[in-house]
Amino acid sequence: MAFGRLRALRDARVLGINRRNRDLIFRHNPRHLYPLVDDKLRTKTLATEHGVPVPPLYGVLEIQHDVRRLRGIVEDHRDFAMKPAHGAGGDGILVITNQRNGRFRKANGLWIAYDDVAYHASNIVSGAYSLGGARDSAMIEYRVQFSPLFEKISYEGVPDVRILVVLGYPAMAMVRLPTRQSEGRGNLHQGAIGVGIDLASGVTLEGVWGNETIDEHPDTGHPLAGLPLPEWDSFLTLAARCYEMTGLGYLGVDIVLDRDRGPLLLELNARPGLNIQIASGAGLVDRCDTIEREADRAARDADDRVRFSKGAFAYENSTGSDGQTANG
Amino acid sequence: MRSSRAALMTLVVLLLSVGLGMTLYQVWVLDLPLEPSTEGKLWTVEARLEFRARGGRPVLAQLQIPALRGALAKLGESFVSRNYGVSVETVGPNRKIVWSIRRASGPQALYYRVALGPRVGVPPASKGPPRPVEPPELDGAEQVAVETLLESIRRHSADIRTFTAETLQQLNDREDDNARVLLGRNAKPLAIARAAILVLHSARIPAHLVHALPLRPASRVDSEVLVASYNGSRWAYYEPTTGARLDPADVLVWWEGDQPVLEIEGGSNARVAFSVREEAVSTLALADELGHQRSSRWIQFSLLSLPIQTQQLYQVLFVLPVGVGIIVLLRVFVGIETFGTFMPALIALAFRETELLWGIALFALLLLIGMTIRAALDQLKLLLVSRLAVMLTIVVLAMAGISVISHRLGIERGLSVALFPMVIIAMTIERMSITWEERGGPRALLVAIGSLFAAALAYLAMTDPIVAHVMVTFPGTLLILVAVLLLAGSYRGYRLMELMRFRTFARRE
Repeated sequence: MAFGRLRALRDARVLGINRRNRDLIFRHNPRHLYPLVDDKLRTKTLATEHGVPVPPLYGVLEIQHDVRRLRGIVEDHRDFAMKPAHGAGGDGILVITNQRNGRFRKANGLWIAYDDVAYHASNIVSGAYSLGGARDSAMIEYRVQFSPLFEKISYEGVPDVRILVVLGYPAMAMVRLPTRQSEGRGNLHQGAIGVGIDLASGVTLEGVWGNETIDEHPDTGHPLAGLPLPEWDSFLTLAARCYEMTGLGYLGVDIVLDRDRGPLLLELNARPGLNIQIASGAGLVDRCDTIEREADRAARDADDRVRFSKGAFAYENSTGSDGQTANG
Repeated sequence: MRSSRAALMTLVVLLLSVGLGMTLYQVWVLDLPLEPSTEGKLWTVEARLEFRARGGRPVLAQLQIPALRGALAKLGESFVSRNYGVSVETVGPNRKIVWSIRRASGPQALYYRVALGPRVGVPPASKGPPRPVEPPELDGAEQVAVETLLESIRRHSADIRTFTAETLQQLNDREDDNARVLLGRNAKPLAIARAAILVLHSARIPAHLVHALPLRPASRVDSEVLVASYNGSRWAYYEPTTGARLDPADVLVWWEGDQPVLEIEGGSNARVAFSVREEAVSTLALADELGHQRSSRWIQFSLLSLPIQTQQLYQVLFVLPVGVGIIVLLRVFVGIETFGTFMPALIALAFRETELLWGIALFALLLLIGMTIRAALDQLKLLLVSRLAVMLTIVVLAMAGISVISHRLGIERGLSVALFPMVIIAMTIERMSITWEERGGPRALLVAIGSLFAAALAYLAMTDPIVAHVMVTFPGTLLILVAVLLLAGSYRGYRLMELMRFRTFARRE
C-alpha cells in the first residue's frame, strides 16, 4: 500500500518537504534576505518603496517610551489595527472598529478604555507576542475593510489569499478561510480551511481542512467551490512584483482584499508550506520545473510572468483528464 | 547544482573508501574481532598521585606498583611524569616507581597506568614455593591465645584453605577472648589481617599481607587489605573481615607487606586515587600484538594515550554520532517531528543512566510538571530570558522533589532523575509550550511522543554493546557514518509521513 501511495504522489508530481528545502528554499532564498520578510515593518516599508499596495501605516511604537505617542496616533483614526511586527499566527492583533467618548470598540463589539489599548501596545513592544520573546515593535495601521465576498464562507476573522511565487512567477494560489476551530485565524495548521484557486480564472476550487478535502464551510455550510475573485489579475501582479521587491525565489505572498482599496499585501513568507497542493489538487514539481525553464529563457516583467502562469497553470491543464473541472 | 552534486558524491565515495579501508585493515590485517570478545576481560588501571610540593625543594615520591605475579599479565604500562625523573625499583616482592625532581612547587599530579589482560600460554613468572615459615616467638598471654585458637581452628578445618577461612572467622568473633587478646580493641581489617598472619605463621603456613584493588570498573576505588596464604601449590586471597576467599581473577595485588602505598619527601597533602576501567578487548589486544616498540608509538597518537577519565568520556562521545544519525534518518526519511534537532539524542544519553522505561517515565513527569507551571507563568507575560531562567530553576526544584520523594518511597531509580540535562528539559518545556499555543495540544503531544520515540531508538542503538564496540574500536566507521549522513542530507524524496499527509492525491488516482 505504501508503495502504491508513493507512486501516486510521484505521478501527481507532489512536492515533498525534503525536496522543497533543497531545490527551492536553499537554492532560491538566500539567508540574508529573510529579515526582509520576517519583520512586517520592513516588508511594509519595502513594499511602499516599490509601489506595492499595503494597508497604510499610521504609526510605529518601537520602545516602551513610544507608547505615550499612541494617543496622538489613534486620535486621527477612528478605526485601526495594531499588530506586532514580529508576530506569528495572528497572535497579538488588536482591531479597533470605532471610538466614542475616549472608549474603543473591539472587533467583537466590546468597548475598552484607552489604557487597555496602551497596555496591549506595551505588551507587544516588550515581546509578549514575538517568537522567542525578543523585543518587538507595535504597528498601528489601516483597518482592512473586508470585501463582503467571503462573508458566507468564513467564520469571524480575515480571509486572505496565499499566492505561491516561484522566481517571480505565480505557481499556485489558495484562499484561507478562518473557522470556529481556528478562532478566526488564517493559518491552516490552526484549523483554517484552504481553498484552491484556479490561477487562470481566479475561481475557487475545492477546500482542504487539515489534510482532508472538504466541499462546504464547516461553520456556515456554504459550498466553497465556484466563487470568482474580483480583480484577480491585480492579485497575481501584486504577488509577482514581490519577487523584485525581496529577491526571494520561493515566496508565499499573503494578500487581503479591501472593499475600497482592492488587494493589499499583508505579509510575506520565505518558507511557505505545502498544503496549498492539496487545496489546488495539483503537485508543484512540474510547475516549478516549468517556471525554472521559462525563467532561464529570458528576464520578464511582472505582467509577462503573470500572463505566462495563467496560460501554463490553468486548472484543467494541471490535473489532466480526470474529469474534474471548476464549477464556476 | 550538478557540480555540487558531483562534489558531494566524490566526498561520499572518498569518505566511504577511507572509512571502509581503515576498518577492513583493522579487521583483516590486524585481525580485530567485529564483536566484543567474551574471553577474559582486559583492564586498565590508573593510579593518580597528587601532592603539593613545598616551594622549590627537591621532591622524591615513591609509589608502590603491582609486580604482577598472579593470573593477570601486563600488556603495557606508562607513566605521566612531566619533568620528573622516573625509575622503577624492585624491592623484595614489590615494585616501586620512584619519581624525583630537583625543585618543584605548587600542586603536582603524576600518573601511573597499567593495562592488564589474562595471562595466556606463558606461565606466571613464579617466585617458586615460599620458604618454610618459622613460628614466631611469642610470650605470655599472646602465646596462650594463639595456641588455644590454633587448637580450635584445627578442630574445625580440613586443609589449609579452610584453615585460613576458619582463622579469620574466629578472629572476627567479638565474644572470643583469645581473639580479643590478639586484636586488642582494634577490629580494623588491617589488625585482623595481621593477627591472622601471626596465627597462620604459628601453624607454619606461609602467609602475608597484600594490598589489592577489586577488579571492577570504577572511577574511584581504594586499595583493600587481604590475607594471602599458600596452600602448598598456589596463593589464595581472603577478605579479613568475612573470611571469604576471593577469586584470583577478581583481585589485582598492588603490593605485599606492611609498607605504605606512598612515601614522599618534599611534598605534603599527598593522595593516591585509583581508577579501574574494563577495556574493549581488541584495542588493547592490538597494543599487545603490535609489540612494545610499535605499540608505544601507535598508542601515543590514539585515544588510549589519554587519561582514563577522558577515555571514558570519549567512549560516550563515539556513540553519540550513532544516536544523532538515527534522529537524522527519522526526520528526513520518516518525517517524525521532534523538539529541537538533537534534543532526543541528549535525552537518550540521560537514558543511559536511568534505563529506558524509568527514563521515559521520569522525563514525562518532568515535562508534565514543567508544562503546568509554564502555563501558570504565562499569565505573567514575562520576558523570554527571565521566563527561561525561572523554568530552569523550577526544573531543578522538580528534579530534587522527585529524587526526595522517590527516595522516601524506596524507589532508588528515581534518584537518577538528577542525571537529566536540565537545560535541555527547560528548553523542551519552552518549545512544547510554544507548539501547544501555536498548533494546539494534540499536535504538541504528538511532537512530544515523536521526541521520546526518537530518544528511545537512539538510546537502544547507543547502548548496544556491538555498536559501542565497533564505534570505539574502528574509528573508520565514523567516516562511513558521515558519508551516510551526507547522503541523507541530499535526499529529495518523500518522507514516510508525507504519504499520509498527501493521501488525497492517492485517492484521486
